[in-house]
This record gives sequence, C-alpha cells and structure tokens, in this order.
Amino acid sequence: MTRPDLDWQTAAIEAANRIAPSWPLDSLLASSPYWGLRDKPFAQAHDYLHRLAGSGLHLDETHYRRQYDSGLISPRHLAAAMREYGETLSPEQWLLASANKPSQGSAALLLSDLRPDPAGHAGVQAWRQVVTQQISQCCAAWFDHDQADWQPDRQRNLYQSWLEEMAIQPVPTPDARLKQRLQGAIAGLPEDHDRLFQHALAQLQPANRWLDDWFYALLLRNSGWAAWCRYQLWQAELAGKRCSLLQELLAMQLAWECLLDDGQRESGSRWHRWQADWSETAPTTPAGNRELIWQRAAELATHAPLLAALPRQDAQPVRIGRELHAVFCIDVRSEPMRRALEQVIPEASSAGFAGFFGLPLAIRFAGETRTQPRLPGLLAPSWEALAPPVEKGLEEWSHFQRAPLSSFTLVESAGLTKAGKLLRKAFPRKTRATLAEVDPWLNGEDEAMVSAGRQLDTGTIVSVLTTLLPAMGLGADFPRTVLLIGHASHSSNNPQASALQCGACGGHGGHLHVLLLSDWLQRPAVREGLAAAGLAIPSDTVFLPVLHLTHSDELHLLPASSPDPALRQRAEALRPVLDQVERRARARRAGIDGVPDHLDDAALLALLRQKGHHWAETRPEWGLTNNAFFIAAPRARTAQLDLGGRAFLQEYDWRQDADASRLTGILAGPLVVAHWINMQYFASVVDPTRFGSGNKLLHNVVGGRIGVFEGNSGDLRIGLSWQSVHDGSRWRHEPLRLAACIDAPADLIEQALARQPDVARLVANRWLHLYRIAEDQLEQWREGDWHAAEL
Amino acid sequence: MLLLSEHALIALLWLLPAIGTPALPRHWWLAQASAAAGALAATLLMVAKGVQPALLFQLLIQLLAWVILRFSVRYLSGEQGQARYLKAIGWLLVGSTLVVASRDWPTLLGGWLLTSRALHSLLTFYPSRPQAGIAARREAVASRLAELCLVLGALLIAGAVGSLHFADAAQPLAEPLRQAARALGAVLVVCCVLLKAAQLPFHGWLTQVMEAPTPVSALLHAGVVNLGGMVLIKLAPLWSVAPATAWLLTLWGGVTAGLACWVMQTRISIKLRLAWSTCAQMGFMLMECGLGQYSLALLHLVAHSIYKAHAFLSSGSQVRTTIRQSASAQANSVWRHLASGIAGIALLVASLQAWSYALAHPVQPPLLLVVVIGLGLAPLCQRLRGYVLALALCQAYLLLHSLFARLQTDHAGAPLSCQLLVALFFAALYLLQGWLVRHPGHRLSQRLYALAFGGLYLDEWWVRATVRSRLAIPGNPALSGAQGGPRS
Repeated sequence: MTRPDLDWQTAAIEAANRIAPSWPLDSLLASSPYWGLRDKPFAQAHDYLHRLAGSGLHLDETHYRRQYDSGLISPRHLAAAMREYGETLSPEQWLLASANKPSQGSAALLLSDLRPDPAGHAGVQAWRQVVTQQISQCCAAWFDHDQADWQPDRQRNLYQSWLEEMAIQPVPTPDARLKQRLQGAIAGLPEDHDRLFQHALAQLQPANRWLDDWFYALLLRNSGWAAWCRYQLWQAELAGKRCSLLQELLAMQLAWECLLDDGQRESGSRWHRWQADWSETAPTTPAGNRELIWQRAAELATHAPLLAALPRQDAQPVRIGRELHAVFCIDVRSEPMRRALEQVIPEASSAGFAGFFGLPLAIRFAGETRTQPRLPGLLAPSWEALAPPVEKGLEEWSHFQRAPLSSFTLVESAGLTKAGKLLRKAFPRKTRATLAEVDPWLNGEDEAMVSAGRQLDTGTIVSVLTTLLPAMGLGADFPRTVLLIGHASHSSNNPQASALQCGACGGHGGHLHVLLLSDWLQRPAVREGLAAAGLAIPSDTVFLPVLHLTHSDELHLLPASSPDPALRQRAEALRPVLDQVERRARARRAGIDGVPDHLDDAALLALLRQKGHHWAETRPEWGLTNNAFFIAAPRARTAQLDLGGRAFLQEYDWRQDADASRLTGILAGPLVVAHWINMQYFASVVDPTRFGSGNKLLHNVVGGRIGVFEGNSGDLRIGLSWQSVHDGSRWRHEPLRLAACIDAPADLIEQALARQPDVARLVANRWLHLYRIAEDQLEQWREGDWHAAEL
Repeated sequence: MLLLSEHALIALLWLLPAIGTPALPRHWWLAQASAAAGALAATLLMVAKGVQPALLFQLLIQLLAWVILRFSVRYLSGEQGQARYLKAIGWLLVGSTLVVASRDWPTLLGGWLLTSRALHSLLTFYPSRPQAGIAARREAVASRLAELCLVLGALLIAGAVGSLHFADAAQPLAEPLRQAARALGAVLVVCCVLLKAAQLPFHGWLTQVMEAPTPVSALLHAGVVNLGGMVLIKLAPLWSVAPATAWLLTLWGGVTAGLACWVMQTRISIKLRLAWSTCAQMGFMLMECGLGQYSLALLHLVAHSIYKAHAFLSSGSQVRTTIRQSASAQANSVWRHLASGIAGIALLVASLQAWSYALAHPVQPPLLLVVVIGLGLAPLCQRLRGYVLALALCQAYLLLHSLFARLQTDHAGAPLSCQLLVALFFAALYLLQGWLVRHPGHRLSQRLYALAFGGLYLDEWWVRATVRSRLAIPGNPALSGAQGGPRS
C-alpha cells in the first residue's frame, strides 16, 4: 500500500515533468513546448491539452478548408489522413458533415475559477488574472538578477519569499469582508512548501486519480514561469543538481486555491461542482477530431510530393569536390545557399552538419563565474573555453546611470546627447553587420575569441577531429579548400534576436566554432596527429572559416587567425565566386515581403542589410519558418531538388556506418534539435497565447534577459512572437510535424532506434514521421514496422 | 473670442493626418510631412520672432513626432488599424500644439481635451485587450479629474481678474476676495498639473499603460506628460502672486521625485522602470517650477523628452544592454558613501564659483537643486577618472543652465525653509540608500524593499479611493471601447 503523502509527491513530479523548459532571451534556442507530453501520442496530447488548457494542436478548420478549396490539400491526402485516424465516412460525406462539433463547455478545472466575485483593487478583473499577475510579479522579482538595482533578499526560497510578499501587500479584492478573511487565511499558511501541500490537500480533498492532472492545470495558470522554472531544473539536471522550484511554484498556486476556497461543502457548493467536474471528465480517448484530420492532410500534402521524389534521385555515395568542399549547418536556411553554391561551382561538393560542429563548448569570460553554453540545449558542455571579458565601458558611468538619485543630474547634464542617437537611428545604415553586432559578447574585434580554444592540448584536439572529419564527409579525400560555414543573424532592438541565431550553438552565431575549427586544422602539430591517426590532410588543403549572415544572405569570410599567407590568398581568390553564390541565393528574396521585384543585387543587399540595422524592424528575416523535412542522406539524394528552404539536411552515408553508431548519434542529436525547432514554430502558430509570445509591439523585457511580458505585466511569455510567424495577412509558417527521411537499410535504422528509446517513442507517438528510402520507394515506420508510405 | 498665435496654426497641419483618409502609404507620408513642415514652421517663427520657450517646445514636439512616426511606419507594418493610429496621432498633436501655443484658458482646456481623447484612442489600439481597456479607463479618470480642476481653477482666476487671457492672470488685484479666489484658482490649476504629470499617488494612469505599442509609450512619456510643465512655465507670473503654489509644487514634486526613483530601482521590466523614471523626472521638473527655476524646468523638459523618447524606442535592446552592463556597484562603507556625496556637492559648488568669476550674470541655482544635483554626482566620485567626468558634467549642466536662462526668466520661488525641508528629505534618502546597499539582509531593508516593490501601495489606495467615491465605475469593460477616439 502506498502512503498517502507519497502520492502527492509523485503527482507533483509528474506534473512538473509535463512542463517543457524555455530558454532565456540571451540564448533563446528553440525548444519544443510539448516535450513534457512526448510520452502521450500526438492525438492524445491534443485531447489532453484541449481538456486541461483549452489549447489544441491544429489551426481552425476554416484555414484547412481554404487550402482544400484552393487545391493545396488534395482529396487524396484528405482520404489518406482520414484512413490514418480511422474515420469511416467517405470524404464526401465527411466534408458535408457539420463542421460544428458540439462544443463541450470547458470543465471547471480550478476551484477559484468558479468564483463569481470580481477581483483586483478596482474589482474589474477575474481571479485567474489577478492570481497569475501576483505570482508572475513575485517570480520576476525573485529570478531577476539584472534589471532591478534593488533586489529581494534571497536567503529564503521562492515560496517563502512569495508568502512574505502576500502577508504585506494589500489583498486584491474590493470586498472588505473577503479582504479581512483572506488576511487571516494568509497568516495561517504554512512556512514550508511541503507542508503547504499537505495543508492544501487536507482542505480541498482532491482525488488521487486526478491529482497530477490538477497539478498540471494549476501550473499552467502561470505556464510561462513554469517553463522558466523547468529551465532552471533542466540546467540543474545537466549539472547533476537538484531543484525544487517547480514544487514551490505549484505550492504558490495551491495556496491561492486554498485562499479562494469559500469553505462551503454542501451539495451545490462551488467545491462540489468542482469535484464533480473532475470526476466526470472522461479518461482521454483519441477522438475523431476533424481538425486533426485536416492537420494530417495538410502534412501529407506538403510532405508527399517531395518525399516521393527522393527515391528517384541518384544515390551515388558522396564525392568530395577536388577544389572545394563546403560544410554547412543543417539549419533550413542553409539549403538555398548550398544549392546556390553548387549551381555556381558545379564541381564543388557540400555537406550538412550540426552548426556547432560537434564542439561541446561553453565560454567562460575571464573574471566571471558563470559560463555560457554554446551547444544544443540537450547537452551539457564538456569543456570550457576562456574568452576575454566583455568590455563594459567606464564602470563609474554605468553606476551613475543606474543610481536612483543620479537620474536628475544625468538628464539635465547629458540628456540632450540622446538627440544625436535619435537622429542617427532614424537613418539606419546599409553596411554589412559586424561580428560584434551579431554577437553581443564580442568586443569589436574577432581575433581574441579564437584564443578561446587555445587551452586544449593537441591530443584532445586530434581525438575530437578524428571522429569529426569523417562525419563531415572528409576522410579519404581532401579538396584544396574546405569552407567551414557557420551562420548568424543580425537584428536590432529585438529582444528575441537570439531566436534567429544557430540553435545548435545554443542560440548564438556559429562564428566561434568555425574560427576554432579552422584554427585547429591549420596547426602543423594537429595535422601531424591526424596523419598518425590515418587522416592525412594534404599540405595545400586549407580550411576557411565563413559566416553565413542569414538576414542578408551573405557569406562573410572570417579573418583566419593563422599567419599563413596561403590562407589569405585562397580567401581572396574565392571572394568573387562567393559573391556570385550569395547573389544567386539572395535573388529569391526579391519580390516578397515588400521588397520590390526588379531590384538589382546591390540595392537588394543594401535593403536586407538595412533590415538588420533598422531599430523598428520586427521581421528582419523569416528564420526557420516553414521547416517541414529532416533528411539524413548523401547530398546526391537532394542535390537536384528545390527544397525551398524547408529541410534540415544532414549528411549521412550508411555504407560507412556499419554499426549504426553514427545514425544513433544523428537520431539523438540533430533530429531531436530539428524536432524541437519544428515544434517551437508549430506551437507558436497553433497555440499563440500559451506557447507564443504575442505581439512584438507590446514586448516588455523582464529581468534584462529572462523573457518578455506582453504589455504591462501578466505571465511570462515564451515562444515566438506573432510577427515571427505571421506577415500581417497570412501565417508564414505552416504548422506541420517533421517528416524525417533516412537513407539507410531498415535494420540499421531499427538498431539505432533501439538504442535511442526517447526518439523511438517520439516516432511511435507521432510527434514526427519517420520515413526511409527503400530502393525505389519510400517506407514509413508505423506501429513498429515499415509500411509503404501513402504518398 | 480666442486669441490664437501664429504658432497655433501649426495645429492646422496636424489636422491633415487627423481628418484625411488617404491610402495608407500616403497617410504615413502625410503625417511625417506634417511633422517636418511643423518643425520648419517653428524654426522660421523662431528666426522671425526670436527664440521663445513655447516655440522651442513646439520644435521639440515636431521633431519627436517625426522620429516616432518614422519609427512607427516600419514598426506597425502588418498591423490592423494603422489609419486609426495616424488619425489619433494627428489629433494628439493638434491638442498638444494648442496647449503649447495657448494664451488663454479655453484654448488650453480645448487642447488638453483633445490630447486626452486622442490618447484614449491610442491606448486602446488593441481594443480586444482587457488590460488596455482598464489602462485607458484609468487615464480617463485622471484626465477628467484634471480637467475638472482646470475648469474650476480657470473660472476662479478668470472671474477674479476679469479676463480669459494668461497675460492678465497675474495683474495686481486690490480686493482680498478676488485675491483669495485667484489663489484658490491657482492651486486648482496646480492640482490639474499634478494629475496630468502623474505625480504620486495619481501615477497609476501613467505606469500602467504599457498596453499600447512602444511608440505610443514614447510619445506619451516624451510628449504628453510634459505638457503640464509647459503650462507651468507659461503661467510663471501667476505662481509668483500665489505663494501657496510654490510650496505645493516644491513639496509634492520633490517627494514624488524622491520616492518614485526609489520605486524605480525595484522594477523588474524595462518599460515599467522607464515609466517610474518619468514619474520621478516630472516630479523633479515640477519642483524646479516651485523653486521659480523656470529656465531649468524648460531645460529639463527638453532634455527629458529626448532622453525618454530614445529610451522607450530602444527598449528592445535591453537584452544587449544587460549583457554589456557592469555589475552593480560595490557596497561602500556608509562614511565613504557620505564622503562621495559631499564630494559631488563640493564639485558643483566649486564649479559655480568658477562660473561666477567668469561671467557677469552667472546662474544661481537654489540650495535645494545644488544638493540634489550634487548628490547625483556621487557615484562618479570614486576614482580620479570619475571625478574628471563629474567635473565635466558640472560644466555641461552650468552651460546648459546659462543658455536656457537667456530663453526663460526665473522668478522667486519656494522659501528657504521649504527648500531645506526637501533637501533634508533627499539627503536622508541618499544616506538610507548607502545603508541599504551595505545591509541588504537587514529586517528594515527587506521591509523597505517590499514597500518599494509594491509601489508604496499608493496606486492600490488610489484605485480603491476612486472606486469608493464612484469616480471610476467598476465592471463593464465595454465602456472604454465605446468611448472611442476623437470623431473626425
């Protein structure tokens, strides 16, 4: 028999695990807000969210209906989607059937939501808003280390600090009697969050059966701060530490439920209705949801044409170009640039590889204790690179600017100097973004950063490179020039600028990694070590670091640190060709997003660069919108196809992966990162109020780097803004799950899946679709077996 | 019959975007052209008639409007309601121009009514946001109260002096009853300004309105709240015949300035920090008016407008700023803290002395301002380079003060006793600040932090008071939407 007090602890942990982490603004890597629900099948997760949060995993039926009417979704795809969901009606009948399914009145999940009395000091708000607001403010004060100059004492934990705040502040109700009662109740709350749980359970008597769901619904009242606490927990877990923040947050929510409980228990009381609602909610059964069928049909409509084309492509193993080989990030924005490169230089070859180039590093700035991870969020950094400290200007001036009583002196003596800044910013520049603009941690000049990697000894470097080079397609042959291409984006005055950077680099540009790597590969000692390990790099092969500026589609040859003149000559010789490449890639930006059609390249480039510098630009680029495919195959499979910047392209040749170890790595790393990105964009479109951060015009940065409020206050907002996925007239991201296509024999993939149960579960639960190229046709992994794909 | 200055004709320019309904690109162009043409007109008028404070302020408004519109055209792309935005901005600027150009009570009232209505429309730019509705209603309550004060005050003053013109408001009056009526009227007008300038505890309408796009906040904080200060400067002669107003302005403004910048330190979001900063800066400016230092008040208005417009428009850079900002100052001992405060004051006094040798008519800031400005320099007075910087700031301050003193004459203001009182308040705040940094875990520090974090709970008190007195009718959020913007 389980002890009763154990149940709530398990339930609290269960509920906490259903929350997905959200990263801070200064390293805003994309993460799936549904990560905590991945143990549920997609359709069940939909029902679950629908029941507990009123959110869904699809757009409105009208959206899909328009696509159907315009032919974007064909009847064939609709029929296939219906079969998948076990819908027995014929498509014609189904289309005629009433789209208005009986809308269930949403169940009252929280006791406090049943209160009819107005809340807030003016009595114009609902209790839910007031509670969200109060907890949000308290969390912000607790977690903020950068914005406020005067911060709360953090000797107590979050819950205790909240309790203290509750005891002092005026109770937010216009009702004097309620106010008095609440003041008494607040004084009676336990000092410790574990005891609060017992207190609350004793008072509210929830059933064990729905305890975890109720806890989850409570956490969702402040879903933004819950995600932030989950991020803290995530970091603690990576570092092997413990963290009880989510339990404390939950305790705060529970305490409010206790406070707002009127104590009535007779039948017909609010408590009774609340209990009844919970016991009536049926256990989730996959419903025949029309929108989910539409959503699947839309997926098939997009996935099918391209997937069907894949098996027909040349499946030659990778040939490394003799002159030039370029390694790009798998980011979907690399694909058009790769295509342009291959078209301009037909004899060149290219490969796709995660943008952190497998270097699991974090930066530690000299003189600071905190480190900054520059790798995917799934991994813990395994080595630290020491970087020069960020130059912060004159210290006294900074203190002068922030001291409370100095603001009057500041305004009257130096306020007028801002006139110059106002006028300068009214005319944004048209120059190429500098590295310091792209990366706020850089001090103007780039070279210093490269020294970051110098602490590593040659032996370690060689062992890193011996696995890395073959994975990038380099092993047997080396071309004369290898371009290592990271990517970064520039946008000004944009709190979420980091969301446009390289997700594999932890929401930062990829410049540091390519600089480091090219520096290593040019060192004679490293080359000797590699030769000894069987990777002989010809002496005239050079590795050039390049940064792909995605907002302006430029290829910026970074100044290499090696003094070798051959490097510079090679770079200079390459410049005109790269100009041609970027021109070609850029040309597809003309004629959209208000960019005139007949612009010559110079004007187009100026315009795109200016978007990056413009302080009022809310759509500097479209980032990873419309991502829909993940393809792990030799480039030959996709080289002839226009993937429209919608595919993550991972280089993979199964012939060189006998033990499936490389594929296992791809499933665990790049595929999950791509899935996270895919779900972040997905969620920001289908559930913009919960998993999107709302309107950029209202964004208000919280805690300097934690996140944003939309407007004055409210809950912390996570996810992408409306402007990031919508252009004012239509969605620029179609919410589709990823179609992951792997070019490998069935048993190899199964072997890799068996070693990555997390990924296997993602596929089994339909959070992404897994396909493989089987000879001349395509197979999909469903219910533990391969089936011919319905395309 | 209203007496319109040529200056008021600039308002006609703003009627173009306010009334016209051209296609959107032309509408934006029209609004920016109105801003630029108005700026040109104000410059030409200054060339023709000499630099007057009202014209200078108008030029400032036009330039800010131009920058903000230039920002908005890109920022708002893809948004619904751009035409509504432009119309409201047009009306807002018509109203502001009338206030700045006004020479009589009806024009002032009319101008203020227009700005308030237009502001309401801008604050509800997203009508579906309930928070926006609440914020707009709060602004409406404060505005109606202010307008009530203004109407009553204007009636009393106009009745007492027998004229609607500002120029006659300070004329000598023989009858004690009339004098008393005018004094009461003056106090009422000051109350109107206190409300309009978001002084504690009426600040809620300003600090709770981040529910509209960033440029609206910029325009509000850099333009609209400053209008009250402009009115005080215009009516300078009136305040010298009603001494109670000097006390009222100095005390109220000073206390708001001190407390609001304390609350500001605890704000956890950038826009709210800026809002509380505005509240404090307005208090400081009103205090300068109370001290009769209208030249400094004018300088403050201009500098603060520019400073705050820039701060709001670039509030999206806060993440970058945070990354590049230094850690908080090391806690000094209380004695060291005291010493740097004294050093700051000494630097300013020494600079004043030097200027008084060099100039025939040197500026003479009153004691209170010397104390506050001097204490402000304290964070710089740690090392040599900081001292150099502080000294340079003193010179910039005195130079600007001297320049503005040629534009705007000062009057006698609050007496020394009042100044001493407020100076002591600031000095106490300064010392307490030093103590708090040193003892963050002390029971008193925690208590004070909670109080400051709660905004001293003044707003909650004010909301309750307005609800109780039925000034604000609870419920019915639809009300705010129904009021709409100015009809065109």
